[in-house]
Amino acid sequence: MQRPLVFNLAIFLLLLGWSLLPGVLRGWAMLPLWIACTALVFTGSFEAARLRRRVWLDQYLLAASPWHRVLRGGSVMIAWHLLIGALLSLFMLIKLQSLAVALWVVLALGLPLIAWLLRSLSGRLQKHVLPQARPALVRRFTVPLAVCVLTALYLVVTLSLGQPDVRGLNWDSAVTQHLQQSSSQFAPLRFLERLYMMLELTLQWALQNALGGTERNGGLAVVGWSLLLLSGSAFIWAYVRLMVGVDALFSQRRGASLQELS
Amino acid sequence: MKAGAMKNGSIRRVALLFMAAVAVCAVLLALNVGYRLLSKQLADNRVFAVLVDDQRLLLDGKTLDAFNADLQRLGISHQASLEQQMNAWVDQWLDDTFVLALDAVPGYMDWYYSMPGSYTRLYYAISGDLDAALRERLESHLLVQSGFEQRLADFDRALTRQLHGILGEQGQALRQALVQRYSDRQVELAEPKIDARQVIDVNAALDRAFGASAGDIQRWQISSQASVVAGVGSFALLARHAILPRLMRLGSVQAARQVIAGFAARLAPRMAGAVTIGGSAAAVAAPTGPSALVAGGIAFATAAGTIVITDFALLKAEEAVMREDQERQLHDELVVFRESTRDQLQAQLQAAFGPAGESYRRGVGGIEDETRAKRQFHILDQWRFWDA
Repeated sequence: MQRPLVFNLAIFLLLLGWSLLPGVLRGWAMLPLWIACTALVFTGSFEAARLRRRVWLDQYLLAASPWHRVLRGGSVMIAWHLLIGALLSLFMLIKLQSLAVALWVVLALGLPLIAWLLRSLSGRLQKHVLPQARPALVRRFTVPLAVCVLTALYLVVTLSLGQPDVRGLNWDSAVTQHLQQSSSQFAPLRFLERLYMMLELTLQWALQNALGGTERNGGLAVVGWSLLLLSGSAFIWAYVRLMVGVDALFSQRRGASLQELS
Repeated sequence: MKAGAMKNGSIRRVALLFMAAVAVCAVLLALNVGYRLLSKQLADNRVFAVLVDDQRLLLDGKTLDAFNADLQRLGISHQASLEQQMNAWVDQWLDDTFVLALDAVPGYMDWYYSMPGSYTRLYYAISGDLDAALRERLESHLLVQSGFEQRLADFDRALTRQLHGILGEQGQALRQALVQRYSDRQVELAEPKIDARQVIDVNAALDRAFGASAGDIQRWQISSQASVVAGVGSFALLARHAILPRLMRLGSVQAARQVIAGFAARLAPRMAGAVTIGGSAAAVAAPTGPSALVAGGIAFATAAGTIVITDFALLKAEEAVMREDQERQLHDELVVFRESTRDQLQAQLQAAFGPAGESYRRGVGGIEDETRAKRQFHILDQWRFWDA
């Protein structure tokens, strides 16, 4: 249990270090980091998907049916989860580039939280769950719990951070005035980065302008809060998936050696 | 067994990394293709043909915007320099014109105090219309013979010629500057085939703009001639109707006139006396007959001649004192008049350049509107998505 925590810490430091790199270097270092993050997120989510599928198949198929093998999830599932993993890590990396220090602290707090959740859940489930399914199930429970706690922290911190003042501005002029230069070298990434900045600006604008008149701006509040919750939880979810993915990778290795030994 | 498991595990991890790399590359590729497609769709790949200075520049949308901005900027600065140049020209023209009259003043003075001049004045003083005669002389000397009046009459034509000259030069310079600046920023097209709707005729618009502002200046010329010189119909009449009365009212001119008029007045009773003396002498010497007339005539001529010659010497001495004064005052008055005319003319020109500049901006702004109508607007450009 200690080794994944060390690895999680290493990955966290890697991300932090990468976000502090100067522009050009960061652009080049992004690709391997993106690949690594994709692999980790994929590991966790693929494992969870396989577990889900197996439970579902066990409900309907006979134990001896060869369909277990056919339907347990193959290339389509892999491709789908790889795509999800790549997009989530991309979103996370883009957000990490311009993350406030306070949010880095939240992410750092996530490390012991995840480790503690993994350990305590594992202890709790020991007497009730089949040993071969236990680690996967522990991780399955850890992700939503950790995401809930960290998203709540994320929201509190984000809302208490300073924002550019866009009260009373049109959305249009708010975007034109406050959209910042993007630092990426690669044009599509630059575009995405700016898209993300615009998203952030939009939600800030919606929240700030929804504060004024409650009777008029109910819609704006809905837009602002849903954008805030969606982007925040997607970011935290990707991060937690990434960290849990490390655990899954180690566990699979252990499981594989266990299987081979037995 | 364990070694096999380790090997299996590491193979799986390599496979995982490989798959992740493939996935990342696929996403990156898709992003790239999507970005390319999007930017191609949204970027201004339409080519505009700009007609300027007998040339056709092929510019894309972004360059066209820059071209337009340059055109506006250069156009406004040219308009400002046009105003400056015209003001300088009017200054110079006024100086040159009044120099003609000023140079004629000593000549007039020479005549005034010459023998023929003096006798002419004496003649008119006695015959009674001294004022009109002096006025006529002054006009003929200072205004007509010097060419001053002719030059004033030519003001309109000279101004128009100058204005068109400067406008032509400036238009040419503006066009050349634009062509020079943008000829190497053109789009390379294998087969330049431009839609007629994508053609922007800067030449025509510039001609319109310059023409409109020239028209404003000319309208001003027509309307201002009355106001510049307060009530005289045309600039040509300025000299006759405004300068001459002022010169005639001058103190020293009047004083000089008074001297000769006074002389004539003093002369009159003595001349009358001479006439009576001649008459009575004739009456005494010969009561009747034609010889009496002859004798009387001789007596009159002698008397009148003596009076005229002695008193005239006195008159010349009196007048000589005044000559310098009169010359100086004439000169000063002309200079004062020149300056007041300059002020009025400059103020009027200033007022005329207001609408002229406005017309010009409208004309050049027409290109902007025309371009804007032909250009597409991109919201993402507005948010600086594609550049920077």
